Amino acid sequence: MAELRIGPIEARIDRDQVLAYARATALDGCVPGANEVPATFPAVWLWHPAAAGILAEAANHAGRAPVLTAQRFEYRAPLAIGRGYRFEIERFADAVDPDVFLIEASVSDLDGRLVAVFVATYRLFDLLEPLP
Amino acid sequence: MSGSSPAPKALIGPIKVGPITRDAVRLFAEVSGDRNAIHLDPHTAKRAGLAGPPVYGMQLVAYMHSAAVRFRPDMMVKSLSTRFLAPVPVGDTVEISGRIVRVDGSAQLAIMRLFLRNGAGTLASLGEAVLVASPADMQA
Repeated sequence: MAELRIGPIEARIDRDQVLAYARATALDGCVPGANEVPATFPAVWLWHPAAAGILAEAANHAGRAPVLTAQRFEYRAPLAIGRGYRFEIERFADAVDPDVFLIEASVSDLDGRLVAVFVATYRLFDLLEPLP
Repeated sequence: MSGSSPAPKALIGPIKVGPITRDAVRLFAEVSGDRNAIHLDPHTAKRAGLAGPPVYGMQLVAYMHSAAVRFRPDMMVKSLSTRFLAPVPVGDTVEISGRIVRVDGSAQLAIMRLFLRNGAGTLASLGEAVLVASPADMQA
């Protein structure tokens, strides 16, 4: 799979989007504080329209489907609702396994300070016709 | 840290999540924008060799993050790494537990291991969260 780099893309953290995400990932329906951005929230930017090529191409890559096998995110500062950020995403192949690719995303504030880094590892599964 | 903080190495939880229904997975697809058919379409999942669609990995990571926050509401998550060991089929119930494995001397940082087991009790994901006491501690 070819290496790909997208961005920087500017995005604003929208309160309604955060609330919808928090509700969808809440434990026992208990939504955390309305002003908190879940630390996993930036993963939605992998499917931002401007970044769609990163995973969409992988998803349709010769009849294969990507499945997340590992991920890591790390913060230097919390994200804030209503604030703008820039993110950049890189996709590159694993050095050893041709069925594995990695996505590395960095999130910076509009002054260029690094806020968070997110790394996801995907394995491509062959899509074959199931046995009868 | 508060006086009610769990002792280091004590198992915290578990918290049960689910059953994680098809509607819950569809809702996650909607809010995340991830439309990977392997998670939504039983036929595509079967073509990948699975019995049925698995729950999104990022959805499980989000549950593990929520659990870490609930286990230590006095701290915030600076980092979280997870590895998936087994799929969690849609419709399954998972259990998440945690264990503080290290607290630094000034109690500004703690490391928590997270264990997510599927309905059969199999360890489906293993995680490690670094928790800090304040946003200022994230810089370190």
